[in-house]
Amino acid sequence: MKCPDAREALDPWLDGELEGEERAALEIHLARCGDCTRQIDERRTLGADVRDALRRSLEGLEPPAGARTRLVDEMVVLSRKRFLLPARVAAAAVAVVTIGLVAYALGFSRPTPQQVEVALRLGEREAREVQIRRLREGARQDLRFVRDALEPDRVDPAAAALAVAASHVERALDPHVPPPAAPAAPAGRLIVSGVVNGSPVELVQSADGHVRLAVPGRTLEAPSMADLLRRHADVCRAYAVEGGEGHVRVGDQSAAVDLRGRLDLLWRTGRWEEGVQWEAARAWMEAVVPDAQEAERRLKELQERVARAAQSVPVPAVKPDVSAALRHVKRMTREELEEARGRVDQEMRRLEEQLREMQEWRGRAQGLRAFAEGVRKRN
Amino acid sequence: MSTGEAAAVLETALPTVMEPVSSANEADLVAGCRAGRREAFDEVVRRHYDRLYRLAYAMAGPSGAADLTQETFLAAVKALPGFRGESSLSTWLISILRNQYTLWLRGQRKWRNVPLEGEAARLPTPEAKPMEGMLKEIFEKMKELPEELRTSLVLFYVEGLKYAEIAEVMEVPVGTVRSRLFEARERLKRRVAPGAERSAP
Repeated sequence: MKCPDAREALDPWLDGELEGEERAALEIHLARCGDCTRQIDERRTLGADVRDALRRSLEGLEPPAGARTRLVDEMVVLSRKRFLLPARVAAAAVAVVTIGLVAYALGFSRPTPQQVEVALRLGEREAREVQIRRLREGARQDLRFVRDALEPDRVDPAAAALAVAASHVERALDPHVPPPAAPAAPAGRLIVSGVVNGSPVELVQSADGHVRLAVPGRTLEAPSMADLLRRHADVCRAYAVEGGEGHVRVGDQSAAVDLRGRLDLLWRTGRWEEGVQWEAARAWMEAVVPDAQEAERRLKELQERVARAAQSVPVPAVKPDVSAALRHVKRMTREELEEARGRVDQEMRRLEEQLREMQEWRGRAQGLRAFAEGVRKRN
Repeated sequence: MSTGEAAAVLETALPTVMEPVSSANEADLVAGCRAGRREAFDEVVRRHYDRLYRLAYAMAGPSGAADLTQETFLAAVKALPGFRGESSLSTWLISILRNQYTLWLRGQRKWRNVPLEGEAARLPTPEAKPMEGMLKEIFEKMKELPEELRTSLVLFYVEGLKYAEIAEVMEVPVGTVRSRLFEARERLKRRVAPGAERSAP
């Protein structure tokens, strides 16, 4: 190997890209040629400088935020434009043609896959909103039935329980409903004190439902027993504090107002306790059915009927109006389309949650309606 | 057809989610992309975006890096039917990036697949740290090299490709890559350190 060839082979040799005979030839040449050997360091430094310059120019480089998501969107749209018809199964191809026909029939050009996607989601959102509205409306009808079942002068415990429970559901359905007027006679004040694990504990529930719990070193307050138990679960557990509105317990010490007082407290605190409803039903049943066994049987029957009513809440079937959504989407710019997609995704999550909640409230309302039917017939 | 039926039909036209793609091999990933599955594109972008962006930045600088990377992925979607899996997805994407880069250099803006609508759609490009001294000088000189020399350097030093891989990306024989790298370094040497010429034969 001669010097000019050796000079050209130095870089690949340093880069680890020189193999076999050529490598051997270069190494033999380097062993004999001082000029070329002196070039090694220079080429190595040059290579390192070029590498450093390039790498330093990229140091701390961060790809632009958000670029990826937008890019993926565009890739999806582009790929569907290109592959959808030829590459996908026959059914999909038929579907795509049908989209085109539907779109044509609706009087506009064929929508892009992205427009279709957003339109579908908008349609779904609309349908969810309608479902939630219908569930709420159904619950309100149930409550109207319950109200009608309560004659104005009826004062038995079952009626009182129904009134409190109905107002509880009403407030959940519509937060703007003002709290009911306080009944004339306020419930009594409850005080329980005891010693738990050597520490003195005092629990007080006043006439408006407000509770105060005093344990060594601190005093906790809450607008209701339910709030206290939820917000300070650890403290309540540590000092064996239990109970509900109108009945409280510390360790083995307990106190309770009567059913009327408990209903009164539930009314004031806006809470509901399922147990109170059945206590009231039992009191009412025992009053109207003299035979204790028969009363018990009827009570059980009523409980089952109410449970069935509360559990069977089908979500109303609503067909999404995709054609309207498509018309709407067609008018959007690309940015608006992007924004709509993101927004709808978020809203859908919120709506799903609302739907589940509303299903539960409709169940409660249906249960109350069944309860009202049960306690009305025998009155 | 009622709107309900139309909606049902529309739904079947959308791609359905099958198995997760994050662990998929390359052939499955490519198949997923061909089927237009969003998760497959997501995964390809997740695996390759940062590396391609670095290369694009080294080639085109801050003004073109984001657009160049984006156009590379979009061009890849278009070219997908032609991808035979003979080279790795990575090498294939880099060769597309290189083609997009040459188009970008010609400044004809032919490379743009999707016109950007207004300035709002323009992606902000974060700048890398500034350099000083001799390295800055080398870097500035590098910008003036012909595309094929500059690209060879970038692929070798930034991406760490072997000569044979660079040859594949640039569609030239390995010997050409070797002489291009030599030529590139020679030019930088002469420009950076003119004194070094005295010791050359």
